[in-house]
Amino acid sequence: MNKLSTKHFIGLKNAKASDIQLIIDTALTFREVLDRPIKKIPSLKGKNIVNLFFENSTRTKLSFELAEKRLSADVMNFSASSSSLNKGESLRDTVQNIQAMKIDCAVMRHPVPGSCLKLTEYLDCPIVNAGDGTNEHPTQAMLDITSIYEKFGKLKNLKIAIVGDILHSRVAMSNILGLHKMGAKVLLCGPPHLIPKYMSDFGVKITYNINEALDWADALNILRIQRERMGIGLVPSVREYRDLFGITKERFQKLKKEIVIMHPGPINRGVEIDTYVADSDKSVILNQVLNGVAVRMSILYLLLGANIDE
Amino acid sequence: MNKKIKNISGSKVLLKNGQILNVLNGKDTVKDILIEDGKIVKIGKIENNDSYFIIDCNNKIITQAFVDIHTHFKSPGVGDQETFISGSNAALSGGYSKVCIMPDTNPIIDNPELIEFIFNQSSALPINIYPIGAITKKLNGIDIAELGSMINSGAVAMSDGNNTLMNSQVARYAIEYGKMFDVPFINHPENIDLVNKGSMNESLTSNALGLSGNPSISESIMIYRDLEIANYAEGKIHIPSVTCSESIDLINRYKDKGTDVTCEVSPQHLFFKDSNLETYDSNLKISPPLRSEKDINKLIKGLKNGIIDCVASNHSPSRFDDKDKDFYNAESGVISLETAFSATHTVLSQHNFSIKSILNLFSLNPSKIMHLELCDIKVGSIPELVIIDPNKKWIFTNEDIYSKSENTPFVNKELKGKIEFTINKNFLFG
Repeated sequence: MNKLSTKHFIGLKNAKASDIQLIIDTALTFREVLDRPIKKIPSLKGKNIVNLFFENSTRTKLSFELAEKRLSADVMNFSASSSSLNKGESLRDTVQNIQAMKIDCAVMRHPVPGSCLKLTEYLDCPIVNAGDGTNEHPTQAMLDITSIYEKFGKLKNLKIAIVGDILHSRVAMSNILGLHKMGAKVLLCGPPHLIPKYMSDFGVKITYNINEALDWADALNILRIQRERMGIGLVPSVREYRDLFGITKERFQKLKKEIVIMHPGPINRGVEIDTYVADSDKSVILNQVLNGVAVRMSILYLLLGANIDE
Repeated sequence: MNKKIKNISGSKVLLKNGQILNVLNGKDTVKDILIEDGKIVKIGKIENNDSYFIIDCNNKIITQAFVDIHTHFKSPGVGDQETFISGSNAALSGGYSKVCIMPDTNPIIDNPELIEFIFNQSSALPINIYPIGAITKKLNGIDIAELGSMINSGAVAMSDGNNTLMNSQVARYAIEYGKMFDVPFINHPENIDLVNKGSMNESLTSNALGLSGNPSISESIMIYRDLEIANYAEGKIHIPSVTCSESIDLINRYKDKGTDVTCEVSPQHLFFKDSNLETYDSNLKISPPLRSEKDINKLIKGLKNGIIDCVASNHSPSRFDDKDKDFYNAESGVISLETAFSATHTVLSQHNFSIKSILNLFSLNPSKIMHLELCDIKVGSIPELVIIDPNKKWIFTNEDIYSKSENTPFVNKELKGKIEFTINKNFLFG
């Protein structure tokens, strides 16, 4: 059946491997559509999608909007700065208004973990999580996983290293959950204080040595050092971070094997990754961006459009 | 300053008839050692020769020179408390060839450039200096310093010196961050809120003298916190200057649990007690403060059963006018390198400690904490040796001070056991 087993797409924690594979396969079909001269298809014509962004986002928001428009949906945008949020109550007030407008789908980014699940109590329509704090960012994980699948033609037994600030990352958790479901192996590499305790209980390997991660991995997912998320000076300096964890030209050139370089962006060139590496032919960073649109089209289509076709 | 430093490169030095105690393998033999051009060239029965500079080591002990893991040289700095040269002489006179210096200097040692600067500045010195890098930038207690770069440049540990790292979250981050490098996190063991401007141990004596009390819980609570964090984060910590009974119990408990913790005691905390403060002598103002007799007995017990790993000097030079003040306003700290071994030996030998077990506290154990290699006493080794007369009773006087500062409570004290000579590569001090 050309349909997800769930009504919403909230996270990969409880996702089925078959759903993940379906999203990948459908996304790769849409990838072909995106290579056509005319990239718009009528699948979601007449459907109304609202993008609720309670936290700043540039790429995710653009990517969703483009995916929705490519599928011919009608798009509404709602943005609120996180400072004006008054926790749960304001979320409820806001969405009850939206509910009254009879929309078909809501995409939400919110700074508080678990808020997307909360939203399902307020809205009847399918909900897509565009990042709920440091909990999950499942569409990002799906685009990462799709990019790996596209490159290797499989996921089982592939070795993926996630490098950087895992503690403050919204990307890491969904990636770990999704990759494990698909039989891939995951290693986390970063400063010990930026890898949450008990992470190894998820069955991931952990190393503080970037060279070990480079030697081990088939693909690297390099996270941005998110300085704005840090309350106190956690990373002593750019030069020290680069020295200890940077994917530098020197480290990259020393590798005697094929490796795929990924990065969810925005890139801090010269910090976590050198320009030489980011722009090399091993890098799929820009491909990830295009796959991001395709994956979001895939998810929206499988939640909304597949019903129409039936 | 009766002793002088000699450069012995090009000459032959014969250490005659000494009891050689090699702490690396525990061997105890009476032999002669011939040193030529900064190398041990022969060990055994060696005939005298006119060309030899002969040191009679009869009834004396020859062993590895000491390692101090807790020294304040206040260098780089103004230079009126200590310099690298005066500090080196103080260290050699106390039998030390390796000294780890705290980063509470001016400028503060919180970046790899300064670590390299210290190695450059000290390369020609007669002792080896190993800098300890600051945990937080400018010792501000908040921003983690470039620990990785400093350690790559040769820093042996991390510490904010006498500034307690009060922010527990920063302490956790630092201990976790330190896991990448296997160097100890060293935090001054006093909770400053509980110190509450206390100037001496809170006790009967503080009441009797009218001095503000600094309770033992200021120390034990800080140590407890750091032990808990180290245990939770599975990091490595070293606790400096442990002084009270409660701290020993806590450290023992966590050692039993398998926490990666070591600790030290200072000679002054073994030699003096809080009641000695009845003269209001500011040379007995130390941080953490001198404790009670009961605490001292616990410290000695802790040394005996291995809960306390080593003795470290906590050598803290202060200018005369900074010490020559009323008790509240006088600086804390004493110079201690010169007297560390003798003072400790005086106390511990009364408690039936073997000389071997005392030597371990000064060389083997501290070298392990800081991952510093001790010289082996064998042919081909570069000598880092000390010659000790363990039975000599002597009075420590101002003449025996080599530090640029004179803030010591040991003047006119009778000590048992004396450092006669210290040899480090091409330098002979004695």
